Amino acid sequence: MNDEELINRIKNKEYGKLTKYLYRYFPVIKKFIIRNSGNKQDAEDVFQDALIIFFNKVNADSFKLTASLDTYLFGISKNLWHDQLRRKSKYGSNVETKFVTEGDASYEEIVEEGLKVQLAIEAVSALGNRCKELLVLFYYRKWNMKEIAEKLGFSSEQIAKNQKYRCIEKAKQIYSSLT
Amino acid sequence: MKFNTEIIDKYVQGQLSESEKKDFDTELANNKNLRKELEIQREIMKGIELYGIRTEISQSISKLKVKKLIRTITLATFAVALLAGGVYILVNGTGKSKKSEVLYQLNEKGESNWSEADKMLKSQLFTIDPKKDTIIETKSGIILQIAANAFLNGLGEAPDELVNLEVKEAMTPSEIIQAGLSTTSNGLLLETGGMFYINARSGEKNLDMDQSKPIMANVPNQTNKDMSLFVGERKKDGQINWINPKPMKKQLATVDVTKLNFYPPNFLDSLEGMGFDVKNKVLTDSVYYSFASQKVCGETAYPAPQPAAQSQPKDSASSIKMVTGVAVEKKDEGNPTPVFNLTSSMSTLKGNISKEPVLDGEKLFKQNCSVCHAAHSNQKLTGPGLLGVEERAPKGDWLLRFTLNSEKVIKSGDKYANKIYKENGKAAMTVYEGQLSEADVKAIFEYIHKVKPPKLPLTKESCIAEINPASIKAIWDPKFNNTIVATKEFEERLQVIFKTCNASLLSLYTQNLNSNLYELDSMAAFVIGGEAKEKFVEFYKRRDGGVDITDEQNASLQRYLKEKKSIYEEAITQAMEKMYKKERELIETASLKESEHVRKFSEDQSKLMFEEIEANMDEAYRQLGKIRPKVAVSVPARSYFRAPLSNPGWYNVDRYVVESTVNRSTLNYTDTLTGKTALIEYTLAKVKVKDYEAYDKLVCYLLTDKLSSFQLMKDSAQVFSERLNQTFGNSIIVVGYKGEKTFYADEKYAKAQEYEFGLTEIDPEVLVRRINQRYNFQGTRNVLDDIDFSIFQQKEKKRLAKIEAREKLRARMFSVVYPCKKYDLGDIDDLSRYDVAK
Repeated sequence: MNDEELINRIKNKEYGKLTKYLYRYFPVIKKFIIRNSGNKQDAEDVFQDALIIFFNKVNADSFKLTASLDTYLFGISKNLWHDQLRRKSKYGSNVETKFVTEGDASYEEIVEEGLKVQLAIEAVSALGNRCKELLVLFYYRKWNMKEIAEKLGFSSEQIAKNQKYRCIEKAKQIYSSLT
Repeated sequence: MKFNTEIIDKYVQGQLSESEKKDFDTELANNKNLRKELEIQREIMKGIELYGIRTEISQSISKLKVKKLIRTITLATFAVALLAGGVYILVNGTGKSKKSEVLYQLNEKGESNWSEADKMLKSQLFTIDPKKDTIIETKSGIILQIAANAFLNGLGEAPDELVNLEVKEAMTPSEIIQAGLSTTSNGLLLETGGMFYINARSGEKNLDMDQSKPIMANVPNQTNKDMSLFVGERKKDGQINWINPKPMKKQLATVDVTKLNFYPPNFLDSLEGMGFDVKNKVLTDSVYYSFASQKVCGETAYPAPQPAAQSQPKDSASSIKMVTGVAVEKKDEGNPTPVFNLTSSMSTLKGNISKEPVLDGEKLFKQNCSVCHAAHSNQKLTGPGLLGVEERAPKGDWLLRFTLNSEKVIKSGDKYANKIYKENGKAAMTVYEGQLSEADVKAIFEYIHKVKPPKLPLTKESCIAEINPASIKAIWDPKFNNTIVATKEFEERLQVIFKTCNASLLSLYTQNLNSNLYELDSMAAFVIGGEAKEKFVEFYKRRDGGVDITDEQNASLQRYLKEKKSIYEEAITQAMEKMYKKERELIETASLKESEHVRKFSEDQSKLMFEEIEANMDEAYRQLGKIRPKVAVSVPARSYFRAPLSNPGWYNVDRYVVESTVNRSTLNYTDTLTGKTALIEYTLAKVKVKDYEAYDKLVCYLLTDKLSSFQLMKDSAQVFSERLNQTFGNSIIVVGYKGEKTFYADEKYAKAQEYEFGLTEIDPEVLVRRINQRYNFQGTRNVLDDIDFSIFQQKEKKRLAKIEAREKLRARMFSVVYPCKKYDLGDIDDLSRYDVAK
């Protein structure tokens, strides 16, 4: 898969398949993180976060590619881990010099993006399962209300719709309380 | 317009009408709050998108993990002992102990003052890899638990190189006195539980300890009193003063978790009763974890206590009794049992598998029926295929009566008999009355029945709400060393938990690793009833403590537990399904192969008859000195055997030839005109095989130099016999099968006499080569094919026996693993999990 194709597939939202494809980079990232005082679990978390940011960035209108995508993904992962280490570490800035930022992923940008992404996701994940499912089906999977009402067992479309607004309101509340 | 969430949503989605949008934009320009609302809502939309992406990513990753895991599971053996982490290394307490001398110039403080005791006591040196968790047991039984990266060098970094850990100890009064150690603290006399010294070095350099990762020292409790830990201070006079007492926690002693027994009660006993080597953990694990594939219905409330298991301990052994019946003197064979060795379970069960009636039925079928019938397909030869005949035909003894004498049944006006008679072109079936006994016919039908494709698998998702082996597998892991799970005390509780069949009790203990056992006991006693309650109350009274772990450790273990349990469950389920699917496919292939073989055999046999008639015909005319008329002998239908020609004339010769060939009786025909005689002799040859009974299967081929295939010599009362056509060159080949071994004897120039063969073992390939070389006949190919097929069949039989044995074992062990549920997977003996149709 070349970079162009990869970008197209990201725009097509084939995230599941892409994850499988990009998983080949996981060992490298894992190795890096384990070498830098992390463990496997950390590596998994970072890899997952990096993928989200990666997909999100590529999807953004402003995205322009200047290095290869795998370098970019690796750069994001490194930066994310760097940031985590910095927070955890007693040695503070000591760690910083260890990393050289690669590719397009500038450190501050990624860290900021990481926080934003985390916040937005957190507001949604804090919702009840039913709410989450409803919202994801509607906004992400683009199902129509009728299908959703059937799938989730709402007695009418209207009730599902009202429920949807309630869920958004709840998410907004959570979001506001987080910021 | 009210600018609520709904309107904002529609605005974001672009669903507002022209005028509404205008209103909204106007309001937006003026209303700061609305702008903020809008922004937040956009963030939420983004959040939903990202959340969706994240779900997709993590699902995708966990699928990958399961896939990876499955690859690690060996399917054929379903050994599921996998992923033993490399975290835990037990350095046995065999430190190199040297002479009583100080090994190092400087002590732990970098000073050179050593006390008398330092000089008197021998050092125990342990070399450890500081990057790994390590457990050390000293000579007198102090257990030191050292976390990974617990040591720091002068730069505050964890060293990469190996670390030398020096330990000195004086645990008994005599050691203490000999070492000249004082037991005073600022002049006060102490009662000591033992003293020890510990220091870590990298080369000659002292190492610091990471304060967040203290070494856990477990000192054997000798007094049962509450003890304190004092720090020793070297005094100038070589004595030690003990200061800064800290009370020691009475901790549970942890052991290597993998050395504990977390199997359900009676599990190992039952397996041992069946003749398995229960010391082979790979084997026992593979049996136990194979049950993790059962779907678990969630953790239910507390089921009624099982009276059998609880009120009378002896009763709970009933399942053992049942199986000990089959436990043949297996253990003595000393069969090495690597991985769920089914050969061993096979030999165990062998006594149980009756001396295959299949064999007789198969033989009888081939000799008598296979010319006209396929045993296990619906393919029509001369007669109908017999697949499912028992379901089709009228019940009762109809099949028996019809098989023995179909003519009689048809004449009696039996409806079904007449129907099939017509359907099959009114070709009458040979009358077997007098040739076959009732038992023979039964054996034949047993063969037909047995070979038929097995039924549908009964269950795919039988639901079980008990303790899933996957949960046990998740905790029975070195990761849980140094937690309450890795204690004898927990092992004991687990046995009771198993009997309650209550998975939530297990979770109670495994999810609260940072609690004291007695606290958990009291909770357990609170929620459960019956005899188990008493047990937990009893446990509670012992006031067993806990094992210190940090919240972080607990949290990470909980994550691990949750993840692993579901991964194991899914991986094992998939592995098992895959295995069953593969086995089903193999059975299917074998069954197809077999019906093809039988079909071909039937075809060849019918051709053979025709060929022999042709050959005899030529021979008869030759002897009579006549030219054989160019009237083609119509291919004798099999029904023809029983309906000889009645036309006179030329056909007379033909008729006699046909009759004599069919009956394999000598033709002795004198032409009335010429007085010449045609003589085609059929004379009887018999073959006896030594140790007839020892073979799984014996086949006696009669191969001639004239015909395109072989004939099978009829086996009756352990003697093979057939009349040989003396105008042919006849050869007899006997092949025997015993398991996967082949045996062989032959007589190239067979005469009308009685032979007694002792077979010799021969490698199948050599056998094929030899027959090929010795018999350059057109029928040889078919003999080889048949041998080939028999070898395949033997292998297949062995494979099926393995499967059968394994499923029987699983059926027996099911009630041990899930003591509150009955096995509901159907009749195992029938191999009903295998479905060929699907």
